Amino acid sequence: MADPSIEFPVPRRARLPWSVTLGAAMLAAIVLAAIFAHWLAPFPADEMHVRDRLTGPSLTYWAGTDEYGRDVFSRTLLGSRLSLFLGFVATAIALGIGVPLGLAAGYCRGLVDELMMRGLEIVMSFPSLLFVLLILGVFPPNPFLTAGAIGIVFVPHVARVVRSVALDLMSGEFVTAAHARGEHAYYILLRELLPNLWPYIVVEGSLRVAFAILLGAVLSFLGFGVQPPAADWGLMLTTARDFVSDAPWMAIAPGVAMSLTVISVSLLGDGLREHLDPATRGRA
Amino acid sequence: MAIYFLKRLGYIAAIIVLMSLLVFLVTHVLPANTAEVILGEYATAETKAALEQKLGLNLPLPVQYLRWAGGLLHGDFGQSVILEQPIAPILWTALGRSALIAIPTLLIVTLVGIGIGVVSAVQYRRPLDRLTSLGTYVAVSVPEFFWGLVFILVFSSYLNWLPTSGNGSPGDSLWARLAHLVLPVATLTLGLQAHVSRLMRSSMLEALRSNYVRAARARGMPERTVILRHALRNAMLPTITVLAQDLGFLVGGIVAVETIFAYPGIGRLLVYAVSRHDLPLMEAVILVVTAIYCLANLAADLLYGAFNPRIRYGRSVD
Amino acid sequence: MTTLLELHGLGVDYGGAAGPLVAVRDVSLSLAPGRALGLVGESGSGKSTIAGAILDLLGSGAAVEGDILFEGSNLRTLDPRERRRLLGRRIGAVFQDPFTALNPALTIGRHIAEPLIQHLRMFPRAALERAIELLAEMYVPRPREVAAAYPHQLSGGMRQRALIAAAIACEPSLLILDEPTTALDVTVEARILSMLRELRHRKSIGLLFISHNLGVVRALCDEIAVLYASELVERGPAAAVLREPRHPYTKGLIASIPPLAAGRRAARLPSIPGNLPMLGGRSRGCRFAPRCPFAEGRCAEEMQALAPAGEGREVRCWKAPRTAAWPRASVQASAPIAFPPRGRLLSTSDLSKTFGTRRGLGAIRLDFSGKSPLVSYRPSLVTAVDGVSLAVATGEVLGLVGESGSGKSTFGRLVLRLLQRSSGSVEFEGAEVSDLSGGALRRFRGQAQIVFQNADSSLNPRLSVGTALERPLVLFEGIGRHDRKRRVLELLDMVRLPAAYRERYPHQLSGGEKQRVAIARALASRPKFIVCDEPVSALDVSVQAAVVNLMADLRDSFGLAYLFISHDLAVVAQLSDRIAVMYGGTICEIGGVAEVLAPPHHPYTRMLLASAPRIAEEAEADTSLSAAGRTAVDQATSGCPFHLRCAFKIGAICESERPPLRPMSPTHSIACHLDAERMG
Repeated sequence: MADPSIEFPVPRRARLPWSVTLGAAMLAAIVLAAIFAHWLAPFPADEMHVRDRLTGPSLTYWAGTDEYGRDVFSRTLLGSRLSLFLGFVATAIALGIGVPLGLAAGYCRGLVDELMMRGLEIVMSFPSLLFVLLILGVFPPNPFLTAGAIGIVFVPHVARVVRSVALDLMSGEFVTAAHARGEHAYYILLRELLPNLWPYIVVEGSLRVAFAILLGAVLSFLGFGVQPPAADWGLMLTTARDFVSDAPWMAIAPGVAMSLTVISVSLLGDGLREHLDPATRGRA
Repeated sequence: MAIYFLKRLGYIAAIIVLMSLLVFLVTHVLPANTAEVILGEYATAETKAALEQKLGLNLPLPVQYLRWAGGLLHGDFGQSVILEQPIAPILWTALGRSALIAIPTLLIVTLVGIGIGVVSAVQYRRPLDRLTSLGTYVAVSVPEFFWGLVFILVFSSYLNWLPTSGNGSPGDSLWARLAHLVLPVATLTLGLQAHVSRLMRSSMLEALRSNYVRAARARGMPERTVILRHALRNAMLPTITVLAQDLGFLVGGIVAVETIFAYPGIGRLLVYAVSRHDLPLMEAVILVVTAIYCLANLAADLLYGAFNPRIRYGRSVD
Repeated sequence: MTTLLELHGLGVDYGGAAGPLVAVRDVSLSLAPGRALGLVGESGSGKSTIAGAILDLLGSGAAVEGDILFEGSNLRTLDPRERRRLLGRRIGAVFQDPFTALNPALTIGRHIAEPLIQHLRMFPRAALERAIELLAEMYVPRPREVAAAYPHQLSGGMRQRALIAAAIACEPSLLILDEPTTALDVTVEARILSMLRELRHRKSIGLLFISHNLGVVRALCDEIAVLYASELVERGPAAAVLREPRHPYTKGLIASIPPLAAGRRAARLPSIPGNLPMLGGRSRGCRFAPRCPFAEGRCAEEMQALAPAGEGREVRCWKAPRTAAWPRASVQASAPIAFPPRGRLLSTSDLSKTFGTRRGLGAIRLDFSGKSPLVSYRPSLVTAVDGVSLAVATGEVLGLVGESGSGKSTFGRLVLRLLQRSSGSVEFEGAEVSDLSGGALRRFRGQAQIVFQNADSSLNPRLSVGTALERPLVLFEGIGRHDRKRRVLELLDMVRLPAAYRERYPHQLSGGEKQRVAIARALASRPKFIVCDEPVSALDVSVQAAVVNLMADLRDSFGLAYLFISHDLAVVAQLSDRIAVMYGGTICEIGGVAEVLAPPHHPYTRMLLASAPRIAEEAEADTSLSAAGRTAVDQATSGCPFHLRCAFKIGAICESERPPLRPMSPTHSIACHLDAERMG
């Protein structure tokens, strides 16, 4: 009997939780601001106003100026581009490699699955930062390289989630029914499994974007990202440290901007995950 | 259970060997010319040749690997190119200092994280839960170096209570030395406990919704027993798994925190090695830290096994 | 005190902003001490919600009204902690799923000792001893070992006994059981039911037994209350109500249960048309009226009330005294049997399938018990199907009956080449199935299809009904899009679903409707043979009959052959021409339905027949045939697979030699060492 012992009515179509709409709205605003940064920023990023060095927030300089007299607000706005670039490109790489791997492992099971998982476990045995540093230590700094390294470090996480969900789906009888029709693997992967996987991919992807932005910021904070005088949040925070007692505002603008970006992405991801939970009995 | 432990140990040993291979390959195979990378702008034909001779870079790869690995097993980590000193003593001292930060952090994170997680699960959707959820959200989303800066601002600049750099000079009292640990530990704890408490909360919620909790309530058990004896014990399992993952974050966090507070631990050593392209030093540090991370994961695995009867007793009874 | 439990106007509403969602509506009943009341209903009837309301397990989303009086005190007015204390001490509860109701981190002994320590203030050691005693009372073998074991080490039946022991540990006066045996095999169920019966008499516990299975309720309960769509529609002494139902729903329910007898090809089960209503808001008249064959205008207008109907009975129907028997299904006299079974469509010869459960790295075993550690490689093997030879003729229905672990589902998949066989052969229309490839394999796939038990997971939740039905058409019939659409409508019509369902998604369909879509999908490629793996087991009884009828109609219209796999002998007997009984991967008995149901029997068949709870008969299920304490998955590794549980075991020959299938008649064979007379 399919009856649950205590019957709870399941809402047929739940509305999206507020976190999804809020997160999506915030993220959209940030992305748009980044795209149109050149038009929105009151000052160019490297324009120095030496006489106004280290002044606090005012009507001219909305977030104050740094040690060279550059407008902190404009630099924050323009710096968002690099962080977002890192976040999205790294996630795209992680998804682009991780999803097919996870699908293959979940679909083929057996030896293919074992080998793949062992291989990924080796990469996962490295703390993410160390692995990226390992790669960055061997090459000259380059944003694409950084994005690539971050992406590769995240591949096992993505693959693991996709694999879990795929394994779960594979035990569903609609897959067996597809085999009974003699469907080819491509059909099953693309038309039966993938449509059920999208929500999980989106949720995991948003988590990865958040982590990638944080990791990228840490890297540039440590000096492994772009070089000065480029505008970048991590870099701005490094210099802000030296001036923290004299000009605390130098740290606040980029720090708040970074936090808001990560919060918006996390809200989106968490909200989506909550949305999925009652309908499909929890995430893998 | 003993068999389980041995199997896991063997597995971890294999992983460490494979990782050392990976580290070796990345540093010796990926770059076009290892010596060039190390020397950077000082690379001329003569300096390159001298370095290659000194580090044995001309030898075939397998030999290089075996020499290096053999040295590792003897405790000889080679020589730092930049510092021109044996790596091992530097590494162990730095590691010890980092441990002074890492271990208290882990303890506090575990206790506080679990506590907050359980409380917010029990108070689900009520004000306390919402407040802690908000707090953890912010704590997770803000990078720890930002917190670090905020702490520096508040506790040093304004309040002038705590030092913000280094680990003290010889001759300082014990208190003075400990004072140097407070801010780094606090910074790390803030971000990490958010992960733990979030996961604890969601696994507690799931446990509280389970059939065996319902059955326990139906047997008339008071709510406190239900929470502690039934739900918590089972909710701990996924949390242990995540604590293991958190160790990875801890490592990353230590690097950042040591940089902010100029604390001479292993994180700073690593940053130094990477930025100077001191490959031998870099390899050694990365390998040692990762090996520790693996062993810590093994410990977490064992803890998981201790909590989960399915692993301790496999066989059927009837 | 006169009554143990009384419900007055109990109502439960899950509704919120979106409107009311009434799960229980104005239910009043009473239970005297030491008596057993059965609450019967299908999905959405609210029976489980009533249990939840009494036990205060519904959570904050439920608005409860009415009174719940237990031993005189109103549970609803009690302080929550008082109420919680009353549970376990005076009321015990057992729920449906024994697999998840036990805390995996605690031993069985701890589970049972817990209420003793909490409510009776026993010392832990004394409580543990008492727990072991209780397990012994539940006829658990080796109770001391079981008490020290963890839940994952025990089988379902054993776990359920442990849960019952924990529920009665404090000697409560009321025991509430919510579908306690539904997840268990029928032979295990029979033993637990007889144990409950004996327990009840010994300790004079009042029983509130909730189930959808009328036969089980008949076996255990004095009184019965029938629920439909959140309302109580009939109440009275169990024997009387089941022998002579008064409410149309009860009549329909009883009528649609297949009898344990051979069905004729042309006969159909009576069924209740329509669907079970969703939990909804108000309705004006009788909630059963849309499906009732006796309904009149007045039924839809007036609210029906429970009225006394003599002899301690109550019925919620104004026509009750005057309604006739539930209409029999019309026999398809007009359609002659167009496709009588003939020839050999599918046959298997000595088919076997072995699974390795520990392979690869997991099979390495370390052994420290000897003097030096021994590393060995020992994969463990399970033979799910062991040398099965069967044949199905064109247009024939072969029923395959067995309990869990018998290998019947594995056999069904082997036959369709959804699993690789380990040895033996499968032939379809004369060709060896495992040799097929390319176009021949594709044709085979089109000709041989499958329908699964769980309609929820057999339809892709992301595909609409129309898309799902079109796919096989794309694969097997190279017809254009316009023709495909037409064919989809044809298919929907064949399974009696409205054309508008083409746009719907699985979550917008009911269980029975989903199963019809699954059947339509199987029909799309115009197959000759369909493996039906427990197709109706997950459906409510009233819906089950309609789907079985549909399958019979399709068989007659298209000359389909079925391999009908099920654990339910009655359903199988209804639809099949021949039955094969499977145990431990082998066929123990095979023959025409009437022959298998009548003696001589294989001992296992006999046990199955005796365990099946019956509604009409007075006799209790005969459990003397099953050796106490054996679990459903006990399987011998040599000799007859059944010898460990067989009450008729002769001796050493049963342990060493596999009995061959011996013909009792040209069409009936039994695999047993016994003589024919002793198999009576």
